[in-house]
Amino acid sequence: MHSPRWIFVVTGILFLGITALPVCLMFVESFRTADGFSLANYASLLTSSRQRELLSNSLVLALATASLATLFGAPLGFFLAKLSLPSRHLWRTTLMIPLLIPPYILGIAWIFAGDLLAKGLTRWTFSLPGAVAILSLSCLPIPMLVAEAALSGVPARLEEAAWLAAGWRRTLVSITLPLVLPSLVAGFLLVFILALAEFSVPSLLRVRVFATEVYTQFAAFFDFGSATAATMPLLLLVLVLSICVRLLVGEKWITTRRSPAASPLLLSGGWTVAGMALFSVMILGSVLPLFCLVMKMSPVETLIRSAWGTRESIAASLMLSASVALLSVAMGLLLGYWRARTQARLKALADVLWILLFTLPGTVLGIGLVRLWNRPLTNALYGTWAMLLLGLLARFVPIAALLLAAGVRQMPASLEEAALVHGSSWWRAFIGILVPSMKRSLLAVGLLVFILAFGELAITILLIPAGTSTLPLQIFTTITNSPDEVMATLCLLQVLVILITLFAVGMSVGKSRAQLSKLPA
Amino acid sequence: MRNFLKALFVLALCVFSFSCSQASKQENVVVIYVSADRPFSEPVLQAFEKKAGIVVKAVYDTEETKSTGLANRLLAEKDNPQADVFWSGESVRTLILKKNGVLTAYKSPSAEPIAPTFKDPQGYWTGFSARCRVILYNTNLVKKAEAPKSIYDLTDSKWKGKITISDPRFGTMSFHATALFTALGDDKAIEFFRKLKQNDVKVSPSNSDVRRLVENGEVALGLTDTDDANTAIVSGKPVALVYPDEQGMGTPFMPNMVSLIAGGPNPENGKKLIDFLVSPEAEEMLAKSEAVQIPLHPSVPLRANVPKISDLKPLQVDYATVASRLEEVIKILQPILNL
Repeated sequence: MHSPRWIFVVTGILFLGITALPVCLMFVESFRTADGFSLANYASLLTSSRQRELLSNSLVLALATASLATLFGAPLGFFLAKLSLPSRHLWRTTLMIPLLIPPYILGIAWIFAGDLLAKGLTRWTFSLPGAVAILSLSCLPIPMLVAEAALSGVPARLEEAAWLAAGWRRTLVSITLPLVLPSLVAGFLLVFILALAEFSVPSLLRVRVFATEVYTQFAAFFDFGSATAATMPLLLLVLVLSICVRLLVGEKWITTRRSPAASPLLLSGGWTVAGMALFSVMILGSVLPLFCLVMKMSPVETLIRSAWGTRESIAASLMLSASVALLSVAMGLLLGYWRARTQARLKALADVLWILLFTLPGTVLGIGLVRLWNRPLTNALYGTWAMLLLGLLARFVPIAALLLAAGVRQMPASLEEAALVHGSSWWRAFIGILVPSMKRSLLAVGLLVFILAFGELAITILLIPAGTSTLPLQIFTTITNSPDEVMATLCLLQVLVILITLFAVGMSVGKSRAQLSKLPA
Repeated sequence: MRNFLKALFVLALCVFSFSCSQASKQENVVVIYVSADRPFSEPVLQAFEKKAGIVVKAVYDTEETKSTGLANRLLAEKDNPQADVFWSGESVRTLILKKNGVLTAYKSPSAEPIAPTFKDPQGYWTGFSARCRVILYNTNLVKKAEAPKSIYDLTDSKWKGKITISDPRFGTMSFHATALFTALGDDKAIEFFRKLKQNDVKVSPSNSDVRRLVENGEVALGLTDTDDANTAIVSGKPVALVYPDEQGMGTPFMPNMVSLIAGGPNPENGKKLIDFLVSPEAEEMLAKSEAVQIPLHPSVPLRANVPKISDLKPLQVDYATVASRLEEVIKILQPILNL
C-alpha cells in the first residue's frame, strides 16, 4: 500500500479522541470507589446466579434475532441486487420500514395488532419468542442492505461461467457466498449487538434481559462506576462471538479482479417469481405494524398539525442525521480502508475495538463525553450542536468502519495499484477508483447510519443544547402521558419524515444513474 | 451522486459553523432541565417567558425515562454546571442530586403558603403541584361497589392475574415502593409485595403501560399516578380511580420539586423562574391541564372532581428518608417480583 500514512494517523487519533478516550475515562472511574482502587463494582457481576440467568436470556435473544434477521434479510438483499427491478429504491425503502420504527414503538404496534386481530397474538407477543420475532423484524433491513450492497459488487462474469458449468446452487455456495461473506458476517454481528443491548422491547414484553442491569444502575441508582462495570458481561459476550466468527470466517475469502464498470449478474424467470413472493411476505410483515399505527392514530388533521408544530425539530433531526451519516461514512471509509489494506498486526484489534465500542450503551459514551468535554476551556463547543454531532459520531463511526472495512475487502487492491503504476497519486486513485466502486456500500452504510442517528435518544438527551430538540426526543417526551391515538400519530410522523427523506434520496440517486447511463461511452 | 455528496458536505460544514456560533450569543436566559412530562410543563415555561421577558432554554425528559435521564446529566455536569434550575416530577432524583452536592439552597417567597412537609427545611427543594398514587380500575370489569379502597385489596385472590403495577425500580413506583417500606416497616412491606406476586401481578414497564392495560381491559386494576389516570378518564376510556387507604395509612403524595443548581450560569434568572413555578399562577395552570395536578397553595381553585389537598390523607413519609432507602429496597424487591 502506497497510501500517505499521515491521513490514517490523523483519522485514528481523531477517532480515538472522540470515542475511546471518553470510554476509557468511564472505565477508569469504574475501578474507583470512596476507598480508592477497587474491584467492588465488578465483584458480583458473573458470580450472581440471577445475573447469569439474565445474561443467558440476553444471549438467546441476541443470537436468535441475529440468525433470523440474517436468514430472511440476506435473501431479500440477494433479490434486490439480482432482480431487474423497476424503481428498485421504492422496493428497498418499503422493506426498510421496520428499521424506521423505533423498536419500542414496533413492540406497541404489534400489541395493537393483537387488539385488532386476535387476543391470542397478544399473549404470544409477551414472551421471549415474541421479543425475538419483533426484534428480528426490526433489524431485518440491516442484513438486507448489507447483502444487497455486497452482492451488487460481484461482477457478472464471475458467476455467469460458473452458473453455466456448475449450476446455480454450486455457484451461490462456491462463488457468490465467499465474496460477500465478510459483509454478511458484519451485518450479523451488528444485529447481534443491537439485540444484545436492546432494553426497551424486552422490558415492554416483560422478558428479563441483562441490558436492564445497566439501565438500573443509571436510572435507579445513578451510579456511573457500577453502570459502566455492568456493561462488562455484554462486552465479553460480544468479544467471544467476534473471536468465534473470526476463527470460522477469518480473512480467507476476499476479492476479485473486479472492474468498476462491471454489472452484477441479473436473474429472471422463476427467480423473479420467488423474489416477488418473498418481497410480498416481508412487506406484509413490515407494513402491518404501520397499518396498526394508522388504525390507532388521530384524524389526519392532527398529523398535519403535529408536523407543523414540530417543524423545527424535524429540520434539526434531518440536518443532524445527514451530517452524522456523511461524516461517519467519510471517517469510517478511511478507517475501514486502513483495516482492509494494512499488514499491521494491530488490524485484528481494530475489529474488536469497533465492535466493543458499538456494543457499549450510548449512556456510558454520553456521560464519558460530558465528563471529558464539559470544561471552561471547551465551553465554546460544549452545549452546542457540534457537541451532539461529536457524540453521535462517537456512537456510529465504529459500525461504519466495520461495515466499510468489509466492503473495501471486496475490492481488489490491484485496481489502485494499477493507477499508482500509471502515475496517479494515491489520493486520486482512492477518490477516482475506490470510492465510485464502493458507492453502493457507501450509500447503504450512509442510509443505515442516517436512520440509526435519527432515532437515537440516549446520547441526545445527555448532549442536546438547551432550548432545542430533535424529533424523536420531542416525541419521546410527549407520548409518555398521552393517549394511544396521540402516540400512534406522533410515531407515524417520525416514520413518514424518514420515509419521505429516503424516497427523495433514492430518487436522486436513481436519476443520477439514469443520467450517467445516457452519457456517451 | 457527486453533486449530492458535495451538497451534504456543505450542509455538514454549515451545521458545524452554526452550532459553534450559537455558544457565543449573549441573551437574557435561564436554562432549566425538566424531568416532568412536556405537554404539561412546556406551557408553564412559555407563560413565564412571556411574563418575565426571560428566554427559557429547556431540556426535557420524563420521570419514567428508561434512558439515563437528566438527573444523570446534572451529576455528570456537576463540575461545570450548564443548567440553572431542575424541575423534577418526583422526589427521588431531586434528593439524590442534593446528596451529591449538585443543588444550592433557595427559599422562594412565593412558596410561603405551602405546607412545610412539601419544602426542604434548608431550602434545597420546593414542592408544588402534587400528584397522588391511585388505583385505576376498569369500570366494565369492576363495579363501583366492589372497587378496591386500599392497596391491600390488590392482594385479594379474586383479582388474581388481573392486577398490574409499574416497575418499582423506576419512576414514581420506585418512590411508592420505598415509601411503603419506610411507612410500614420492612416486614409488612415485603409481605405485601410477596402477596402481590402470589396474586400474579403483571409488572409493566411504566405507568402509561399500566393505564393502557387497565383501559383495554387486559387487567382489572392497576397502581398508577393521577395524571396517567386522568389522561384515560378525559379520553373517555372506561376507567375510574380511587385514592387508596384514605381510611388507613393514607395516599402517597408526590409533589413536583424545583431546585436551584449550584454554580449555574444564570442564578438570578433561576430564582425568578423558581418563584414563578411555585406560585399560585403556575399551580393553577397545572391544575387545569390534563395532568390535573393538585395545588399545594390553598388559594388555587380546583377543577370539579379533583379533591383539595386538605381533603386527602397523605401517607406520612419523609422524602429524604425515602430517597436514601431506594437502592436497598430495589435490591429486596428484585428477587420477590422476579425483576
